[in-house]
Amino acid sequence: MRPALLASAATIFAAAHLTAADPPVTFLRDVAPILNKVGCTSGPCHGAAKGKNGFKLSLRGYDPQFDYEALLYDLSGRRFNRAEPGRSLMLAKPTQEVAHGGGLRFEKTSDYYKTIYNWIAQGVPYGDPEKDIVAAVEVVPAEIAMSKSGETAQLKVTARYKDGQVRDVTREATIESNTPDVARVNPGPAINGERIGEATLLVRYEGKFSTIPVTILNPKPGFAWKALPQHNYIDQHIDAKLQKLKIQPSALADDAAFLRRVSLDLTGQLPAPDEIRAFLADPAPSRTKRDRKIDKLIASPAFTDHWTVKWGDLLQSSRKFLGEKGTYGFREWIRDSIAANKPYDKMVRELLTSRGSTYDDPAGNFFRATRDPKPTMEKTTQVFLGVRMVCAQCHDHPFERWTQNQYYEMAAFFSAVGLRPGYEVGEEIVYDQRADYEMKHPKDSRVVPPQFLIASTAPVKIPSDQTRRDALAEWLVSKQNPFFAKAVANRVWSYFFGRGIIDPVDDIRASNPPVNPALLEALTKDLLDHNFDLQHLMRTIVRSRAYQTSFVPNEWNALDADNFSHALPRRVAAEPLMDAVALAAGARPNFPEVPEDTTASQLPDPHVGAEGFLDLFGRPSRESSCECERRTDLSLPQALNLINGKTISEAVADPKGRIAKNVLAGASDAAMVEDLYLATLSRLPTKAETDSAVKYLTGGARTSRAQDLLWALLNSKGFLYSY
Amino acid sequence: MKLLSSLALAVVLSAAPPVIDELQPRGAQKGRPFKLTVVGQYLGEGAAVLSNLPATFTPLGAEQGRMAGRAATFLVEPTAEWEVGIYPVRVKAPNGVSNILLFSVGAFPESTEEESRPGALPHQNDSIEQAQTLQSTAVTLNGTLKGPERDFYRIQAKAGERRVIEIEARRCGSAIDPVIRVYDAAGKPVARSEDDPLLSLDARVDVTFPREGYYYIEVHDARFSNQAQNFYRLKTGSYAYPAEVFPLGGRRGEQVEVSLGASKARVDLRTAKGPQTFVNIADAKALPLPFAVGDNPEVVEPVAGALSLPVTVNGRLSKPGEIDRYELQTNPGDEFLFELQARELGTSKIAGLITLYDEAGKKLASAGDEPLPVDVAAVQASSRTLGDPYLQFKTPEGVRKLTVTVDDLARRGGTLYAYRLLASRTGSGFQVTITAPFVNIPAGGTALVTFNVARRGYTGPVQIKPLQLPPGVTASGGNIPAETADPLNRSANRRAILTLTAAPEAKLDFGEIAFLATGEDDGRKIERHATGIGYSIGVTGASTQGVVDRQRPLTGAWLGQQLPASLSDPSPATLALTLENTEKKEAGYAFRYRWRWTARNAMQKVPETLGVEVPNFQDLRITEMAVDPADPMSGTFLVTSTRNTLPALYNIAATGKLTGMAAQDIVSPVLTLTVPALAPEEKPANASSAAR
Repeated sequence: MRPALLASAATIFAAAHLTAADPPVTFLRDVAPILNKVGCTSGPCHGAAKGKNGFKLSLRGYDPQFDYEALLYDLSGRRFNRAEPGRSLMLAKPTQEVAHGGGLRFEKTSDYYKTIYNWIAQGVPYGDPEKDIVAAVEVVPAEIAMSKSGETAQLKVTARYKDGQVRDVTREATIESNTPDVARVNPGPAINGERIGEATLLVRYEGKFSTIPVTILNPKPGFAWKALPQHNYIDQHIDAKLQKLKIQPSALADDAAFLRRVSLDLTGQLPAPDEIRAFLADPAPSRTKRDRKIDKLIASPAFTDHWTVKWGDLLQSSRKFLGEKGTYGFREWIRDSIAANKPYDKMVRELLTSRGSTYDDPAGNFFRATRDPKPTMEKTTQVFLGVRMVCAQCHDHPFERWTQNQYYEMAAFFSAVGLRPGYEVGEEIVYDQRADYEMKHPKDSRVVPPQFLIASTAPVKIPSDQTRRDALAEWLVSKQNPFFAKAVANRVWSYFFGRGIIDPVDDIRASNPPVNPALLEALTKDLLDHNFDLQHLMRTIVRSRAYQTSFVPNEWNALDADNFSHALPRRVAAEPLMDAVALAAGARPNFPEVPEDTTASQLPDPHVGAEGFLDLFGRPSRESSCECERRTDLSLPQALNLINGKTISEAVADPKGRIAKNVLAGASDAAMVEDLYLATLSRLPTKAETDSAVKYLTGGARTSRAQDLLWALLNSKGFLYSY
Repeated sequence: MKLLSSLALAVVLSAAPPVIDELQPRGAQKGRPFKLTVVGQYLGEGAAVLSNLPATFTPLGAEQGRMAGRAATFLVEPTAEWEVGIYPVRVKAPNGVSNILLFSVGAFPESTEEESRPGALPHQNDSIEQAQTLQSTAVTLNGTLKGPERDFYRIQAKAGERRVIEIEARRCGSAIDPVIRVYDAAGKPVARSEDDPLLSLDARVDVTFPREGYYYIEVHDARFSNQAQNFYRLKTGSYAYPAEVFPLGGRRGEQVEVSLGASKARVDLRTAKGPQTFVNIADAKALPLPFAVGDNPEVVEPVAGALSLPVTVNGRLSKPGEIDRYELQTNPGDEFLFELQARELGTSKIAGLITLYDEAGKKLASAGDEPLPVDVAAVQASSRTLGDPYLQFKTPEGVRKLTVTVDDLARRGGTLYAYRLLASRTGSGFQVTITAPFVNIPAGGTALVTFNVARRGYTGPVQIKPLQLPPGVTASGGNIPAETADPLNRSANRRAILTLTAAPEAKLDFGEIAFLATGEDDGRKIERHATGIGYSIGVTGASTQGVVDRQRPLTGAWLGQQLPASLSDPSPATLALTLENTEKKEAGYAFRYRWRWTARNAMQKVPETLGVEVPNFQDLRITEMAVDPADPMSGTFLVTSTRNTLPALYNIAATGKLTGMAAQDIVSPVLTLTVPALAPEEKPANASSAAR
């Protein structure tokens, strides 16, 4: 609304009635918080996309100007009775003096009623945006630490306005816990410690928010920190946190468990039996041979294939969007980038600034899945910055500082990007001269100039020899960008630990803080110091003691799932699992329309072998760039498939497979059992396991029973999980 | 016994025209006689090779037994100097002519991939470990990619040795989209090529080996697709090849100096006939590059002063961001046609953009960046393709001078960003393509020919007629109604069907039939000769991945052919349509047609339903198709129009599939179908736009 209109509206109402005895009330400072607190602006009520019963307010009151106009001018202004404020619909509805679908929101005797009554009586003034806007929210205490569960803490929330006024808004503020089973928010507001662990409280008031960490310590007596070797800075930061929380990390995993885990994590492949035997027999000190193995795995083609799948997921390399040839070309580009260990900032810059034929420059396929400026911007921020902007398309982000204006300002960087069919099938031309390319704001259709996400007072100036995308790429991959390096460091970390230091990894925001800020900062700095060398980052991570820790917990860390005190068993992902079945059974997977020796990790996209084993085990369809598309759960259909499905049954009975080879080679029972254990569980069988298995093999048709044993091993948790 | 003999005779008489699927080998070393085996169907006694390769093709006896009629072998002997290049090969038999396959003449000795030899086991060289050894001297190896496979070859090289390794596939009629990868002995990638900009989708690497040892060449299809034409020719040696072409073409009747990178060539266009010829370096080892042939006067940039039209400007965007500008004088009302030739020629990478400005620098029009209408035929966004842009323009009031600019949509530039800008004072028009590469007309029967019209500003009706026909052959059809001007349906009213019917006594050995298409715009007659596609070689997309990837067939307009035609044996039956009655309905018209089969023998079974084609007919509905209970050789069906059907002259034809030993598609002669205009109150909503 224009200021003149606001002024005239206020004048009209001011002329009608004014109660001088009551304190001045404005919409911005006094009324809007009430609408938010009592739920008028919530999603299920008038904050819904289409409003409720003909009355629409902005979601959670992110746009007070819109709400003010809606109140004043919808229903031809009949929401207010200036002569008798108490008869105004705005008071009669929430007090249910007239029927209200939303029920009773406050009583006539409440302070809220009185505030709104006075506001109407005073002529419904809007307020002064220079004074009546909240500048900051402060919460006391800034951090809550409880020595045991069952304790309670009180919070006080104050709002500081632009004019310097401070107001206690504890009652009006919204307080939520990200882990209610650790810290629960009760009326008062009182924070109850429910169990040992950590949680974060998000305190919101009028578009501003603050986060409060809550820690509930283990009250068990007798904790004495036992220092373990620290391999690098990662262990220092993790130990510091664990020591504070009275959590003792687990010991190192044994060599066989380490080899299995690191092979799956770095290459998506199980170690072959001979490789395990050689590693276990290597007399070098464990840490030395582990470091050597890490280097070897990183240098292997399987490493490249594995990370090509990861980036193919995030960049949506799929023939649905790119066609067949586009998919092969984009995969090749990703693979080359990983094989060459292209610095991450360079890789992202190439993606963002690619132009011309997608045949010549396959990086241009980045734009083909999302095609339009807005989804392209959403993908860019989510994948490369870990920031989800999608909410801000319709309204200011509810849990973050991002505004709707910023959404369109960022999208404007891509608004000139055009895609036009090329001469060859599956070829498109990426260019920057799209006609009518300016980004328009949905509220008033004004042209929105590009502006970086991080507030900058100066407008973006794009040199004449640069496109908007060039400018964006420069800003985005800059070492000064507070999100870029941090986002990828966090994302890479999550691939090795099953969760990010900030989790979900593509939802970095102030209200979703890292569990170990110092660790994330250190990883980020290391990545920057090594010029975005992702292989260095991975090498550093897997060399750490924290990564090599056993999954077996001790009495002090059994309940910890957040602080990396022990390894968390993770279900092996779809492609590595299928390749693991192939290795274990010695049988080739049979994918259509790719060469015979293609592994699951080498498939060009999810359309090959669709609706089969891979999809059942959570291979993402690449419809979006969200990490959440890949599922690593274990479900009943998966269990049934493992028990009865073709993939396992055919692999086990493959005429050229492991069982057949062992039998034809004249392997002894014990040798065959050892081979099967190494091929499935990546470890030697215990004596009891060997005895039991040999006994079973000798109890009937040997080949058939060996197949049974392999089937049982493939169905075991020891095979299905990385640990 | 007598009955069986007559049946056999009928089958022999009704043999289908020849079809060729394979040439063995696909190429030969120039000047060397060789044996050529043509594999296909209906290649019986009397089959002869038709080719512009200067050679004699002597039959070496017909195949017997299982291969009878499925292969024919010829001894090929040069009759003149062969140039390295591509030559079309087709077979003429007593029962008609075949499709074209391409044959490649090279400079090096020829060899064959082991697994491609007749009777060889598959997958013999699918990995580095199994790589087939290639000789160290220059060689052309003929290989195949049977399904999704890789082929590996091992070569030995000295330190510092240069070797060119290239694949001929798309250029010589293979549907393979080849990729070359070169590895060192440790399996480390040394070089890769997928789509060399001058080689269509073919690949070439030019490697200088860093050290002595074995190197491995991997060849595979870019999509690991499974193609019927799945051959490739792997050429390796140390040889020169044209690295660029400038200009991209020249004027018919002239001789043109052409830069080919390190060397120059003089192209003689004095006897050029088609829209394209080829250019190569002297003593070439690589295949020649396409070179456009035009009829306008030609200039090469920079151009001083205003352009004098008609003209073809040969230019090049030498560096990224370069925009070439040309001026021309005009008067309000002048009409121009600007056409860019670049990417479609196969020798330029430009995604062209033509823009027109007035004297004040105000943009008047552009082509190459305009919004695209929805393509109803596109399977998915990625399967859509675009050619070089053209711009039809009428000078508005107050404009006396135009500036036309050429640039690349993505602001790229360099040696390979040359173009030809054809500018003429031409009003609206169209181009016509004969979409059938050739036709065999059954004696006493009918054959279908299809056309596609690319409209260039002209939206009126088009009539296509043969310029001359052999004695005893008649034509019907060839009508396209006015464009519906529906921006959402670009495929509307751009397709024509025409049938050629031969009398039993008609005579036609083999020749070409030319067609002329006419239209009329504000009293101005527009005439265009139809161009042929030469050949059409199918390229398949993936079939089992859930997403269909439509591929464009390979065609050969460069051959400059119109419609090659021949008479074939009489078909077992003929089909004819007649219009029985027309009835006015509430929202349109109903046309009842009768079909009638005439079989050459009483035993011939005919289908009970037909396919009915009425191109460009909006809301076409075919109903009530039924065989007469008393006469299985005849029946009727109903064609109905709706309010959305434009009143116009349409063509209708019916097709029926004969099954059994004499399986053939039979088509009826085309009839015209006139949809009358509705009364004013009954006019369809878009009638006014259609009238334009």
